[in-house]
Amino acid sequence: MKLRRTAMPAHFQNVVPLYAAPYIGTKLYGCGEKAVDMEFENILSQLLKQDENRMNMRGEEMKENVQKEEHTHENAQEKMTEKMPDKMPEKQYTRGAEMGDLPCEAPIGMTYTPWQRKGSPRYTAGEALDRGTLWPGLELPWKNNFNVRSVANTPLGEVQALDFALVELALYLDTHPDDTEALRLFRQYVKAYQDKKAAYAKKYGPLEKTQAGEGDRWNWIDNPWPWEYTDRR
Amino acid sequence: MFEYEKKLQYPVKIKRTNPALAKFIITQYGGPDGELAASIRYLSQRYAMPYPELKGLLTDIGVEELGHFEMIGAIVHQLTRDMSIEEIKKNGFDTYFVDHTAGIYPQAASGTPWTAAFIQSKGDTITDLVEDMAAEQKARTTYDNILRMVDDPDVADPIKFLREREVVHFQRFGEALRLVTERLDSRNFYAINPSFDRAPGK
Repeated sequence: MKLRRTAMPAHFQNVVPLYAAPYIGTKLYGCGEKAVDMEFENILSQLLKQDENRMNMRGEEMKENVQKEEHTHENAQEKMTEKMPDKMPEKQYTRGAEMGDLPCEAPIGMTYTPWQRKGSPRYTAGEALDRGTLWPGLELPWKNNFNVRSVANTPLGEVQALDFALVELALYLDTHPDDTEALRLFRQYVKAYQDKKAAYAKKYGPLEKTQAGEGDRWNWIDNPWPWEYTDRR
Repeated sequence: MFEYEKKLQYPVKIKRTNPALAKFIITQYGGPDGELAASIRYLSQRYAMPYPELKGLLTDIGVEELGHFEMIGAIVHQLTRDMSIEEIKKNGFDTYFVDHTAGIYPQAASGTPWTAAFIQSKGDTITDLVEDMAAEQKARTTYDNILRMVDDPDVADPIKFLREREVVHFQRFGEALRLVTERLDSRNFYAINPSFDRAPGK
């Protein structure tokens, strides 16, 4: 029997026989945030072992085993459809690949991106602004050189940090609209942001037009504008 | 509609004038992989998007990119404030200066003015999202290259922030592409163009 190879994620490359493709193309495709990829890895290693045996076998013996294998595939398929918890086991608080997840599926002829899982570890709003993301798993700095200076510790920085957490949560919710925990968090940050922004405007001037116009002067135009260099704020 | 908030997304406070840096950072203002191109690309593509998640995502990222456009403008502005003619000539800023003085003009580092030819809006959901993913990577590479040449932390910090945003946006566009393909026939993703061959929302 001739074994063909198929396009796969890097860690499976050159090892996955074509007969694994049905799992990738149909069964696993669309598994979303259901954490089936660990199962998938087990099943693949099973398939690989069979692949090895297969190459060492000949004639009748091989035919028999092929039938047996088909049986195993069915079981494996059932196993894969089992649901697994949304939350992954707690890992050490770190960033980048250590916080990421290996793919659970990789459809042929289509680019593949793993879903960000529900309940992914998060930075605080202040850390998020410094790092450029709320999600340590997505923090992948050039030459591992990340910002160490905190910018969220000024009055405006506090407003910027809360607003940034909202930006990050909104983008996440755009692709995960049913994540109730993220929704709850979003509402909490909205409240904190509105309070902080109102307090800031009272002291330093309006951030949006609806906060302007108090007193007898149109203070919307007051310097500094955001692009102007200033040590203050 | 759009409303202005009188703040940057991330603070830009550059103490030292340095037109040598402004000369190439301007490329993220009006260059082929810059923030203006990103914003106009996503805000234009969103009209053909067939699913609510995609309309939301392209709108939200498109708006955020406008904020990045403003940050790059602030960086270039602060790098070129109070320049002397000697500084301009010594740092090779004379070619920009002669056309724009210390004004901010959307152009690439090479001097090519911003053009819609930098972007595409193809009206095909998969095609547009794949272009968007590529755009985020191109911008990320540009920021890598900028970081290779910048040693002032006042400049590098906001650049690192902007670079990380490209990584996050890439992830979201990737997820968006999966939201599309999950609604298509997994045996042939290209059988139809969901933004043309099917009514929205179906």
